[in-house]
Amino acid sequence: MILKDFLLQRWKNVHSEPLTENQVGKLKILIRNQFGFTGRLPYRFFRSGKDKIWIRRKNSFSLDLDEFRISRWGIYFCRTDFMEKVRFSIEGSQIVGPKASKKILELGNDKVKEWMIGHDLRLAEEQENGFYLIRNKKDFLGCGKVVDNTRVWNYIPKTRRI
Amino acid sequence: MDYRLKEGFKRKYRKLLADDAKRLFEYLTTPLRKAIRVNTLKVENKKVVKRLIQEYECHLDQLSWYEKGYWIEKCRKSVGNTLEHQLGYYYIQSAASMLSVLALDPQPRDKVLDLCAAPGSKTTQIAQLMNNKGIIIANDVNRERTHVLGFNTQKCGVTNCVIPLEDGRNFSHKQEQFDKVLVDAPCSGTGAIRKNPSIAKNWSQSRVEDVATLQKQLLKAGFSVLKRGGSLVYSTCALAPEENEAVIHSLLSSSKHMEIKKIEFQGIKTRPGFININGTSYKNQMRKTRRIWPQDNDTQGFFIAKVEKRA
Repeated sequence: MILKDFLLQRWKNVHSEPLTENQVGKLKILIRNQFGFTGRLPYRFFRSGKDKIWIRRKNSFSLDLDEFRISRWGIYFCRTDFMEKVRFSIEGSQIVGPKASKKILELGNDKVKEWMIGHDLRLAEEQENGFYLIRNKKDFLGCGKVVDNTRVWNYIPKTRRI
Repeated sequence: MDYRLKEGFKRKYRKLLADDAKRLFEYLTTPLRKAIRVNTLKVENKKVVKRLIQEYECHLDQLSWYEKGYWIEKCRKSVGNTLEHQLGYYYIQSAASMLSVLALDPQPRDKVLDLCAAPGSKTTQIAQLMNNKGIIIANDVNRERTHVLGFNTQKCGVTNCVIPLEDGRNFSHKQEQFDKVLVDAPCSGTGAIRKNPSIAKNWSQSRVEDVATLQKQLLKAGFSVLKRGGSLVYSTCALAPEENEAVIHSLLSSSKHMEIKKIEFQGIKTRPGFININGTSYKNQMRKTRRIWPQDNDTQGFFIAKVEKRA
């Protein structure tokens, strides 16, 4: 393979490894079990790297973009190991959150700023360890991980902090 | 901020606008009012407006030409650093630039090409009008700029967008496949001096002529991938006829399938494109292109042309 073909192949693979039906099924079950999500996810799912999942709108268009370097397609949705954990991006949490019924941590107004600055939080009451959707009223603010039952690790990316 | 305009620049626009040039220079040397566009892919108009007023005591005034756009001022906090902005509930976008997408009029089932898409103001607005349906190919030639574009499409929750990293001129080798094409071409930016005064400092006529060559090539490439019956919008934030009417004229002279379409905007004063500049005459249909002059609406300067590829 000559260098140009090699590079094109690499570009084409960006966010473009589709999940198998089995993997999509597993992911949806995981989201349902972990967060009590009852809605629909009408997207096509793709993976980049080991565990990063991207979503694209389903459509039936054919695209003549062969030989073009695709930098990005769709949005980053979540990270998952397909076994026991799902951690949503901010957008992922906004899609899933409104129809989720468990593993939701409600932040008071006083804690929102701290969260969006990127600080880890201390909980007043103990919670089961694991990943939680972070919510303030109707806003979903990504995911956090409860560790030692009292601390929440912050995953707000630097570029989205206030 | 240093808004001083070069003498050569002033001479050019005095010749073009006569008495109105003075008002143009006055407006070009005052800061641009800030505007936002509510991202209805994520949240309703009125909810964002209510929050911005309650939380930050902002003064908001709906744009008369687009119900999702607002003038915004006097906020207690920078509008680029609020929780609502970081959650993607609104996008900071120049008020006049929202018009290009309104002229394009993308529909939910369309296949749209945004040829020079970064940083993504118009791409995200297109996605909003398409309600995240159909597909948008949002291309840019610069890697860093595609990262910013990707960041903005992520933040706005745009799931129907592909971002190629290509020289827009390379699209001319592709099939006629798009229903709508937006060529918001790189330009000298003279209409945006109010936003970025360094444009005035770096202005030169030779730069205008250089960028016009690129604009003609990009427009040609964009038009070549447009389906028969499809429409293309060409826009710039430049004031120079060389970057606007002359670019449209170059395509009009070389393509028998092209027709300039009338654009109608409500609530904003626009003027027709020039048909006679420095002895060069353009076809009368050039009057269908629209110019938004800073002094007419207290916005930045903009040029918008809509063309159709005849079946």
